[in-house]
Amino acid sequence: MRDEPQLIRDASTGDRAAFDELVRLKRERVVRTAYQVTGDLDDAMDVAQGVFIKLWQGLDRYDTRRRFDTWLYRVTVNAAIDFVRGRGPKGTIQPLPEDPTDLLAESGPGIEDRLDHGALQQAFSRLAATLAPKQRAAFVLREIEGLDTAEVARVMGVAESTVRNHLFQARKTLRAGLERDYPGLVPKTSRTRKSES
Amino acid sequence: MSDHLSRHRIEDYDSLSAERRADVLEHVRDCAGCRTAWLAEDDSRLFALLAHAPIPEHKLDQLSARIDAAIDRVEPRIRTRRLGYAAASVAASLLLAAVLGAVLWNHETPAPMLTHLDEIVVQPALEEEIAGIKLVASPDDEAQVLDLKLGETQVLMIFDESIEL
Repeated sequence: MRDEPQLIRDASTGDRAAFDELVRLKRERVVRTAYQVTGDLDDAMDVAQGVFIKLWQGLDRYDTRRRFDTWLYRVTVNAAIDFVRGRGPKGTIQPLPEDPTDLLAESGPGIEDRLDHGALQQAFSRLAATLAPKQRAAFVLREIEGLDTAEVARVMGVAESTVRNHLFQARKTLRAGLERDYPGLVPKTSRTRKSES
Repeated sequence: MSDHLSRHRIEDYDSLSAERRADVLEHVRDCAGCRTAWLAEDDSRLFALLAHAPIPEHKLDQLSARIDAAIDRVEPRIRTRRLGYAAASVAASLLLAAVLGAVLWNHETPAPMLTHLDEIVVQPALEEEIAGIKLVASPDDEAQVLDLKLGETQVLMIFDESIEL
């Protein structure tokens, strides 16, 4: 069993088995990131395919002193942003769901199985489509992928203050969209407390 | 972890480290009370729960198959490119060996051209030596002579800007 650095070294010399293993290790992360930035799973598959082909062709030029995941996130986010920009306004307007309900009011073990990720995803894809691609990418990396602000800045090649600004704008837009279009999605007590403060 | 999150963790969620935010996220997935308090700080946190949204396994397998097929298509090009580099390296080595061979051969049996160069180089009054590099006068302009001694073999390289190739 080869560890990740060994897989990277072997894959960079043209070892297909090592590269396949590397793809298996990283594919979900790449697809999920591309999905959240493009808002469409099929588009994310196209982006991910391009990312891994680029990886195969350029792995011998990868600087091993840098964190591999940071490099991979960077390639993925750039490819996804390029894809969104190339696509233009197509697909940015999606219909509202007929009956957005409070998906998160339940509690207890196994709640994860009952969470309607589909509805949550639909709401995010629809609302995030109104964000600038870089705001969206910053939000996805920080809030969904769980990276630190400094790491997001490295991935996006910008200053931390720029990332914070992107996040501020993204949260503001998403909050407004949730209140306007998905009033049932957030537990009512949350909204009540928020409006009281 | 205690039954519920501390007020501090909920209020300062955004400034926590990545690991601590992951812990909070793990907790609020299953605890409605903490989740409500956590969302009260910022509704947009709701979308952080997408971190746990699974990508269907069959889609990921499709992706692997597509990547395999795509690499099979691009690999011959990569191989050709790498072979090209290798061929260029071999050609450069052969050329260097040929040049050195010719120089050494000429050194043992002076050819008319070398005689001509000797005439240019051997002008003691015009020589100026700088750390093994001699500046000499050529018929039209200044030339540099690099005198290398490899064991018993002497290699003389002359750089003359006035010579047009």
